[in-house]
Amino acid sequence: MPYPGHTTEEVARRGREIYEERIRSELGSEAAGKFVVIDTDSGDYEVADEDIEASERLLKRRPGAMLYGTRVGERAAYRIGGHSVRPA
Amino acid sequence: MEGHVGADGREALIDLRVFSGANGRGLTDVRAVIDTGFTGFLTLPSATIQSLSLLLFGSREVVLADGSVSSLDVYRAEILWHDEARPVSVLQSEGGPLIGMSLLRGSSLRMDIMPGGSVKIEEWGWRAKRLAATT
Repeated sequence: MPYPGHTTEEVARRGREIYEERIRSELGSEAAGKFVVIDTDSGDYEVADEDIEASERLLKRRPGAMLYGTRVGERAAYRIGGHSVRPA
Repeated sequence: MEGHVGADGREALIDLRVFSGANGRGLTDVRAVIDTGFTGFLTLPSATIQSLSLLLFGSREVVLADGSVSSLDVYRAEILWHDEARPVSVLQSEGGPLIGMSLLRGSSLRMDIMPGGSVKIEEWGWRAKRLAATT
């Protein structure tokens, strides 16, 4: 468990919910393809080109926050071994 | 930077020096598979992450090869990349270490795909792009 008392899945589920319900509609078109990291308690978030920049900036402002991150416009933050092109 | 194709001819391998960076003094060498289907920087198993005391960056979701979505922990590390310390996000995964397209961005990759074949990663602009981004 990354954060004491909270499983990885639980933090991801809460983060995804906050993203879908509140943050996604707030982000303008300039955020497309960028990385968003979210404090799953306060809902505060940071957008940057990459995970590491967004995470560092948000943690500076919200030390100790439990973070979820994702790539704007994609289902998830990362892909391993998959494929972005859908079969016809 | 140089690596080699493994003895079975089916994996491109590179050795990397990974360290904790500002928040710690741990350092270790890992042998990673170059995975061009991986969109991130680096994956490491939990034992290596714990031994380096990496800083936790929370939970991320990952789409896998079969299209399913999994949740993983992500951490901060630094690696020696073209002779510089480069901050990277590290996904925790118990399979062997992988390096992905985010790490390779700005470099060119060349492989002779046969057992023991050479693997070369040359920077063609990642340092210049990084400097441009900070000015």
